[in-house]
Amino acid sequence: MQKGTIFLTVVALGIGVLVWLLPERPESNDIPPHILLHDIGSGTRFYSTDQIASMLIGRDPSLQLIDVRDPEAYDKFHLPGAVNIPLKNILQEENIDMLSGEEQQHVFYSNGTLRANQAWVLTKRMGIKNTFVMQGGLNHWIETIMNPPYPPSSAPSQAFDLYDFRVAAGSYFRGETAAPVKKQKAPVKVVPRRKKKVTVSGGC
Amino acid sequence: MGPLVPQGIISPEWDFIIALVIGIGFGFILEGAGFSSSRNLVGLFYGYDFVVLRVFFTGGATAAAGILLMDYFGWIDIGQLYVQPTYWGAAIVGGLIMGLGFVTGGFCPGTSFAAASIGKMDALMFVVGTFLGAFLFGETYPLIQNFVNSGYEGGIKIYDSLGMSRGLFTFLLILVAVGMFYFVPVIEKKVRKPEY
Repeated sequence: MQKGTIFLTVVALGIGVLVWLLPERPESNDIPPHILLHDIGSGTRFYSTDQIASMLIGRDPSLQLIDVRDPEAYDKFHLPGAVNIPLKNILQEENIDMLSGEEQQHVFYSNGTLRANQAWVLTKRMGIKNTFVMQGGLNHWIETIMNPPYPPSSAPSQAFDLYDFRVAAGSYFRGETAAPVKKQKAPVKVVPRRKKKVTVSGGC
Repeated sequence: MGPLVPQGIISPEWDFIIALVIGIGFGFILEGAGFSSSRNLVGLFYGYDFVVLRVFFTGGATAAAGILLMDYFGWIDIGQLYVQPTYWGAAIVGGLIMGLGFVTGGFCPGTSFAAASIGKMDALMFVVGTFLGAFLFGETYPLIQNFVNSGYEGGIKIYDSLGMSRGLFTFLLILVAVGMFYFVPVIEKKVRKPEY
């Protein structure tokens, strides 16, 4: 037998014994803390209330809203299409399964942002990818979509466009059938025009 | 620190470029090692040439030992590595189809590309067949969907299923590999390589 073959055999078996005897570090699927910190700081988890309203009106099938408040609060009021997963039930297996689905974007909301953010951190820790938070929660929803503030007259035109969108979206979510018609500031005066008298110019 | 891509150390865009470079290297070495010859490849089935067995056992054992050592040194986090999920039904039937195609045609998907690149006509037909098969799979997916997804086990690992530590499993893998390297030449000597 060749010397090289024996040498390689000994090396291979030596490495084998080494990996056998080395202590194992426990496997974990947890996201490392520094990555979690980066994700928390980057703010990419947020959906604005306007984005959510636009997706709801467009019936975007990739959006799944998740209400993390108590069932009583959910029964009183919730956004259309939202399912109720109270924060204390979020670790239940069927809820994890549902949140792990990668076809949809799961957007948490609560009254403010606190509980939705907590739910988001919990799901991130478990390595679930498609979870987001509605920025400002239901309070902000009421402030922006349901009772949007009229922009000051010096605001850029985009602010007025946004206001118009919010008024229309608010009426959509209140269940009104038609958008309110803006009152015209002054009725247009109809000035009847008199026909000019045609003077006969020449002729036979 | 690793794995590099899931941790965002290498961006997903670079991921593809690196995959391309590694793929070219892999193809180059497959061709250089004689894997573009269907006679070498099917030798495993007839018992006159065990180069496939040697290469894949060496690759598997090296990778397993390397990953365990790198995990021990803290260079890579095994928990973050992607594990291909197991579907029993599809794995068994797919394995049978693949094995049958391998022994009749003389190539597996990767080696057929390596052989097509040096201009072998049968390998070129193999490549056409690969795309045709993928197309047929896509078109008939609604019919076979239930079967394809049957027997789902998730990303299970063989050492967990066997109830042993991963270190012990790797040691046994290396032991079997080394034993095989001593044993298969005995078979190779007994079986006469057919003259083509």
